[in-house]
Amino acid sequence: MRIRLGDIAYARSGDKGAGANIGVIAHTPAGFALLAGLLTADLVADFFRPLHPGPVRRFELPNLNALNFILPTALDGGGSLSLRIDAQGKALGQAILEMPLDVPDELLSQLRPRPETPL
Amino acid sequence: MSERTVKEQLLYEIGDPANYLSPDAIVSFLGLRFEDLGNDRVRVTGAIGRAPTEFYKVSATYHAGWRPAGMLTVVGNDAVAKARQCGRNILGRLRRAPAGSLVECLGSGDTTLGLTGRRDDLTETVLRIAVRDDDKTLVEEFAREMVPLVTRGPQGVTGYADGRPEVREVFGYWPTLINRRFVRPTVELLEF
Repeated sequence: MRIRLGDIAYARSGDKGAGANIGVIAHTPAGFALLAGLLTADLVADFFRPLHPGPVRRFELPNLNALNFILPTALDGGGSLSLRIDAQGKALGQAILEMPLDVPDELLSQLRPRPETPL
Repeated sequence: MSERTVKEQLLYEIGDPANYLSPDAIVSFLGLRFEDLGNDRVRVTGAIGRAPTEFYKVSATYHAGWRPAGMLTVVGNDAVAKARQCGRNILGRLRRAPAGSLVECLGSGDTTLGLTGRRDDLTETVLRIAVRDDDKTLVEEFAREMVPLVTRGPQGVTGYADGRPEVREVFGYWPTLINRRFVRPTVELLEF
């Protein structure tokens, strides 16, 4: 079944100089296991290609069910050099959550947030 | 505050989570554990620190020209096309092209360069134009051109209450390292 990343994870992004970081946190350990395989640095670099992200690096935080991505040149110079409205990359976390993912149907119930998880 | 919001903030603007460099320690986040205590309290344990590097980070900046950015609201069933045309017109009126310029139609998907989808069938959009150049008089020329678009441009352009875009100095960011033996920290307390 095709879902969006935001169905099984949440995210936060910001600036690191001229680059951006995007933290992606799976709602469940099964979701983290899936994303650790699917959400490669290459896939993220390809998704953000319009921003010219540069060589993307990926870090794993299994204890948080999270992945952290560094996009070293995604911010058009960053800071006050960038002409973009989103010069600090705050919108990139929301953007990555729109990424389409194909996941096995039988796995879905293990990936979605538990109902009691507060927003 | 919840386990979820704490994790989100922890990942905010970090690099390598095994080697988070601070002036006081190199921290690994990879052993962190979280316990939601309720009532907006979350216990975080398991951070491991090592001795810091011999360097401090210097966040140096340098003058990199001038940059105004202006916004106007464009309405109409062809708002996005009209706004993009307005952007081209304003930039075309300058005596030469600035070193950098960007026209964005906010609401149409430009904030993420189309990554979250695009819509051009809007009834209104915010036109944002930003320029950058070393010649301050050129960017001032741009700032003067922006507001008259409301009166002498196409109908349905509004929202100039904030006046002319402010011409701001651009600070390029040049982070570097300095050996801490060259730095003597002092603390000064100011009373108000």
